[in-house]
Amino acid sequence: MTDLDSDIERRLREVLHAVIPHLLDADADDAARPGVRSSRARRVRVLAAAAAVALVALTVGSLATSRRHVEVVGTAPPQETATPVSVADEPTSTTSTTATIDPAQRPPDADLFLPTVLPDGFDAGAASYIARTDAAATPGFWTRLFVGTGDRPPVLLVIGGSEPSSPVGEIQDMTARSSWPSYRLAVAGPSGAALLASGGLAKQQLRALGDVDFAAQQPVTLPDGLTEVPYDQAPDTTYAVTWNGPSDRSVTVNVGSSHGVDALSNGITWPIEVRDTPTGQIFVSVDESDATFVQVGHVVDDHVVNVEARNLTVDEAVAVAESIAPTTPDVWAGIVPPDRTPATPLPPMGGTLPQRFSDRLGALADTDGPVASQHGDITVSLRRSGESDGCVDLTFGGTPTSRSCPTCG
Amino acid sequence: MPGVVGEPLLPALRHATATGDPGAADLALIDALYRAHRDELAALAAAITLDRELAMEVVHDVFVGLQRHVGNVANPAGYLHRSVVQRSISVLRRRRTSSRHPLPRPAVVLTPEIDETWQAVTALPVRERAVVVLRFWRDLSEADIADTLGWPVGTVKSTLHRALRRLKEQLR
Repeated sequence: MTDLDSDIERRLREVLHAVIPHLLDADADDAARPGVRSSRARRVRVLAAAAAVALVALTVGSLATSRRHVEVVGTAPPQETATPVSVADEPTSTTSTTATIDPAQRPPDADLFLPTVLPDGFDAGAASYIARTDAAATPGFWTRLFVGTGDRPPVLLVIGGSEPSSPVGEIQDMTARSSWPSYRLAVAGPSGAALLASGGLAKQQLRALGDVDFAAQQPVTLPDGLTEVPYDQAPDTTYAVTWNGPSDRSVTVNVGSSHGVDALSNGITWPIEVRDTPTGQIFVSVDESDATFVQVGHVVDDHVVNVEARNLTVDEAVAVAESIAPTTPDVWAGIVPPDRTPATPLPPMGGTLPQRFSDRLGALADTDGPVASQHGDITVSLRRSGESDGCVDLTFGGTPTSRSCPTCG
Repeated sequence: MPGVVGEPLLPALRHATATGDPGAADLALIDALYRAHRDELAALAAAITLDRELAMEVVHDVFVGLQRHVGNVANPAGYLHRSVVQRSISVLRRRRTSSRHPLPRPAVVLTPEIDETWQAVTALPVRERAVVVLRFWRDLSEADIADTLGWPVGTVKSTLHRALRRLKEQLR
């Protein structure tokens, strides 16, 4: 922790303890709400900051009828003036901040999904946009995430919502201020305003996506091998089962169809690896400030298993996720409370259940007893509903674990 | 019934009592909880919603909710805090933040540093503000915040990280 971090935390404690107890005092001056009253000037600064990262939204008709895109160079500081970059110009050496993942735990052929932490522009910009769409109570707020293939897979995050006051047709090249190749923000959408945040896509490729109707929430076919993965920037609903093992080892599994791959959300802050496993694509992130914490996201059809592991190796956490994810609907029913349907379903993903999952389901259906797999000293047992309690059992080194489950107790 | 639970009793709770008729012991417990925790819960809701009346609505709604389930709630105080935070976030996401009943200026002498920092806190997105309030006012651990919000721990970590980074930029 830096001195600045300590100072901020000290100030926060002091301020919150000084202010919050008095927020409802009857004799308080009703002049204004803090943060709003002040804050024409502050809001101007905030908006200016938002503008500096070019979070712009487009009115639909204008883009649809007049596809004019404007390079934004005036909003960035002079030293960060955007530089047109082609695909060939993209830098490739971007691994400087990924050393927190122990190389010994990483398979040699692992693709690096996000080469480094995302640039400040992405985080602040996307969060600011989300905050403002939240503030406007935009009913149609949504996010969709698409990833490509290859050693440096392109990533496209689409954030939908209305922002009628924003300029039309802007694209900002963030490359000059970004450690993420070809990072740009733009907004497009024939039937609704949308923010496109891209890594690894060239400007021309991004512009081509302006014709795609992301806001319709229907499956879309994208060029460049981009396929959609479940994603929700701000998950509301989680279903959790926790296994507590010895020596502070624990595994928490969150299951749902509405909250996407949480590891990807963390990836806004921390590096993420993507691993192609026999059971599908698995995303791994390690907390840069806490190496004992590993998070794994495993997409199974339109469900997502997020594994939070404490004091497990990355490989162990991945193996647990891989074991748990492709399981039967009966076991899902045992993990996910049946009366808790997701409040906001993900947009249709298209496609069918991958064959490898169908095979796994068939094998499990033919099995009388529990299906177990072994990963180091961790045993994962999947039990069919009705045979036991329909849940997943984890054993750490043969030591019984305590389990907290919303449905099984 | 009022003789059992005493006054003041929430108007909404009184209405619920008239229709739901929970046991007298439950009502006495709820009333005691209300007396013990109302101010703190209201302040917590106000810190998140930045709306005085909305904060009170949140607290009252949560107590009415507790009235329906009090027999099944193992830790009523924990339930109340968790519900207030979650409901504060939820209602704010559904409403325009143009506050109908804006918060009063805190009845405390604010130094420029405190004022500036509080302004920065109020400018945070609601989820980040909730995490900051829970971490630095309620002094909850990240795991406890995750439990309170019903989020994965990783989401709490990343949300807090983003909030602190945003505050550092604002207050630099």
